[in-house]
Amino acid sequence: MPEPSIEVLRGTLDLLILKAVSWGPMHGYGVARWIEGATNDVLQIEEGSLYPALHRLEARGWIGAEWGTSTNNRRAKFYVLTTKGRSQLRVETATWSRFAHAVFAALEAPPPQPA
Amino acid sequence: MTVRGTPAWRRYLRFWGKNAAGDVDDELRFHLDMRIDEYIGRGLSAEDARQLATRRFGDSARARDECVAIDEQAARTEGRANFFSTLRQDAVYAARVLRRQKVQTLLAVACLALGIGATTSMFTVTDALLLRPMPFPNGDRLTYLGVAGTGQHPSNITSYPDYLDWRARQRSFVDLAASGSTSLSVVTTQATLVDGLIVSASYFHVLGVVPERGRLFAEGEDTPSGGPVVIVSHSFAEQWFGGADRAVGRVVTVRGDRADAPERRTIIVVVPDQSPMPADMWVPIVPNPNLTRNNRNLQVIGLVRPGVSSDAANRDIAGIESQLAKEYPESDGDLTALVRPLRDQYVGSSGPALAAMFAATVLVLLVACANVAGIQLARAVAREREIAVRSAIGAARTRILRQLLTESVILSLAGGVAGVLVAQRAGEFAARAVVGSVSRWLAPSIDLRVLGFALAVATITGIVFGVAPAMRLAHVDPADVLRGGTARVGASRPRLQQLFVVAQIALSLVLLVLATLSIESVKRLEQVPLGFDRSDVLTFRLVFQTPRYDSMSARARLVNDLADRLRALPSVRGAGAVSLTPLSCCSLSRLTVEGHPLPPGQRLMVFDNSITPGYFAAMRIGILRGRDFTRDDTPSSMPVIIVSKSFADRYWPGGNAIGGHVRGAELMTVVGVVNDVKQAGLLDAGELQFYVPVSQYVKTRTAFAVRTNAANLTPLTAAIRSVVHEVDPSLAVFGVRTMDEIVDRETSARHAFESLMVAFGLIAVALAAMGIFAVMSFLVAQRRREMGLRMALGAAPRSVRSLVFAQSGRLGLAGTAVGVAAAVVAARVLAHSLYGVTAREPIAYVVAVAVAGLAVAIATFGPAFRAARVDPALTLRAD
Repeated sequence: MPEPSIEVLRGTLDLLILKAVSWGPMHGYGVARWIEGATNDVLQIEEGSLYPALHRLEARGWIGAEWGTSTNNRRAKFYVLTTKGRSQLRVETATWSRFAHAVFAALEAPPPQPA
Repeated sequence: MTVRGTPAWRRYLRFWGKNAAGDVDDELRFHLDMRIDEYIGRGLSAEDARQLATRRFGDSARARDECVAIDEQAARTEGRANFFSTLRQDAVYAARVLRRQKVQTLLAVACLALGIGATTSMFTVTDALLLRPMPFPNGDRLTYLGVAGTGQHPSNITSYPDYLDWRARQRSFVDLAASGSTSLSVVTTQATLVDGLIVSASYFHVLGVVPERGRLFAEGEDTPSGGPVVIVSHSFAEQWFGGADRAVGRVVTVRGDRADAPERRTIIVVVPDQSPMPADMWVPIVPNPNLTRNNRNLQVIGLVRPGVSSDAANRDIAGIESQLAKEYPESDGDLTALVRPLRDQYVGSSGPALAAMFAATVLVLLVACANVAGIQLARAVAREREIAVRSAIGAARTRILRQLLTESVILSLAGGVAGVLVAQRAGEFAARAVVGSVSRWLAPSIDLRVLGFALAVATITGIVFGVAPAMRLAHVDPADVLRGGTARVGASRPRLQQLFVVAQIALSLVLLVLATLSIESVKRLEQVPLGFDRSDVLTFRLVFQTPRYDSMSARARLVNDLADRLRALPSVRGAGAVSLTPLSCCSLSRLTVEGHPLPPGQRLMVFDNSITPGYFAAMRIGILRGRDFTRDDTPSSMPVIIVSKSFADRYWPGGNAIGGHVRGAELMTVVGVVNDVKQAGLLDAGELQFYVPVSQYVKTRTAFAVRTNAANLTPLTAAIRSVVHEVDPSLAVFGVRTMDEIVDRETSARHAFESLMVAFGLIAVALAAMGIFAVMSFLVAQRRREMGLRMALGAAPRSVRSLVFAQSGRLGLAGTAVGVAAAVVAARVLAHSLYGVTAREPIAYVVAVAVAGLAVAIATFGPAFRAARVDPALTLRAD
């Protein structure tokens, strides 16, 4: 599928990360797998953009991080959603919905009347 | 589940100990490993899995770098926020601590206010004198050009022809200008006397003054063909015409004492008031035959070209003058010329005073610091438990140290604010003490730079006096403190405090010695014999303005008449006219004494005065030989002269001056010898003076001295004005002042200096006394058990008291020893700039030691008596 523009992708990625983490503490790989699963493999996350996004969200305080052990006893960095992050998730979900509806409305609009 | 962000200190630890890069690497590696596992789980070989996973990851190096950068940036912001939040915490805590002990805090703030205030006011003066650019255009490129004869002090006065030559031949200056000061009598609606300057056309151009209204002198207006014009100052225009607009174009009658006749002149421009040479009116120089090369009465200023050093300018002018010396040996033969920046003129003489003041303020600041350090140390001991507890529950030593330092800095900032207020009041006073008459442009003021300075001083002070107590406290061993009760006796702790107190006593001794020296100096200056009796004498000046007084005989008649009438007033015990009252500086005339020919090229210049009979009596100037002038000394009788004692001693040693002959404008016979009088200033020494009767020579201006026995001078002043008005309403009376006022003006600067030094000395002593009080109280508290024990064993209260006094006495002795030694050094430096005192005036040291000793004794009373009142039963029981 053609690569969407970087800008859109980054904003959407942040939203998806927040949603992923809202289910509970998750490490970076887990987030990637969840996104693949939830979107039925339609969205393939490039790992090179996933991790910078995670760190950026951590720096802004929307997600918190803790080192722990994974299910197979490896040391991994787990991310959790913060209070700030939860409200940010709410806001961005609403914005994204409005955006999507608007685009759909435009795409299914009747042909323009001749002037 | 919702969780707060990672606690700050934990994130801190991670980024502190480990590096962000390592963490990111770990994180990415984990992801890669999980992907590989996933692919292996789907059936790929290990190698393929790795390849696929790596390819899928994409540009891992870039991702890694990006993550590391993000993390490090976040850590930095974190660190900054942390710093400020801990600072705020510390500040709040410190404020609480300080508020808990209000008295001690206020004491400390007061000490600091004095110290910082003194330093800041000194800085404002130094700033105004040395650092700030002078508040008029071209200020720092303006210079004075002067000449000096061989072996003489350079003076700023030169002659018109010399000025013209300098101007024509110079290369280092944009332009030169000449000015001569004069009093101008001006008639607008009324007669008035103003300070005026006769100037060359280039004058305002050199000064860089921009006129408010009108135009400046045009080139050539200072020649005979230039029109009769005049420039006035803003205040003059305000006062007489109600504003600059209305002044331009008006015609006023102006007469100077160099001009032959009053002239009607048109005001062409009004200039603003700020100028290095303040005046109210400027008229152009008109070249005339009187302005010979030998007639030196002009000041020359020059505007140096940008980029030319004053050395280069100096060489330029010196070179021109040596050319002139060859061309005109009779007038310029022995002269050299030099160039001096304007600022030096004002600052030069104040150098020593400024240095002395600066040193004194530093000393006061040190004493204040030592005091506050002492207070903090004492307070620190009381807080040992609190610090011990904090340390025991995990506060890092550096954190405690930081908190204590924050406390001292807050204290000193508070002191700084109070100090700035002090400086505001003191600044004007300090300036007067340093410079003398404060020039209009020297206005020490509080601006941002001064505030910055005060802030810096306050912060440094806070750290300086806070370090010692803080270090001490921070190194407290919590276990030790928490375990022991009040039985602990920290023998080493008071030593630092005692050291501070000894230093304080020493420093305040130095200041006291300097203060006493200043007092002595002023006292001696005031005891300088003036040559006349300064009390109960009223003086005023008179100017002749109308053509009626163009002839000398008319003036002489008027002056004599006026003197007689004044003498007839009730409450007047004597009156006479004199061209210049004592201490009103000078007019010099050239004389030759018969029988004492001068070597070629040398001139004898003598202070001249023209007086009426009765002047000496009015001023109580002693007539040593011969007689005063009388009515019989008329224009037609033999020309007579009275000389001063120094004059007579020099030319007629052995005392037979009477009958001697002196030639000035004409040949005169000496008929009397009078005591020397201070004409130019209090520090005049053996200057030659002579007097001629008004009938035989009188200038266009004169002064009168009236001795009265009235207590209230107002009716006398009114009577004088009405007498003058009666004789001629066109005469203007000005400058009504008592001789006392004139003399006091000479010493006012030194008085101000003396008062400041005394204030510093007393402040320092008071601070030292506080220090002693604090230390002794502390020591007494420490030794309470011992005192109780002694008294329980039968010691009398008196012996306990004397124990305390002995201890403070030891401190006082140590401080005095160091202080005297330091004072001798300091006194040697100061004595140079003080009149009449040396560094070894015993009285200064005796007084200083006595005052210091008294202070120590008084300060010890409280603790000593408290020690003796200790109830032995209580102290022995409590443990």
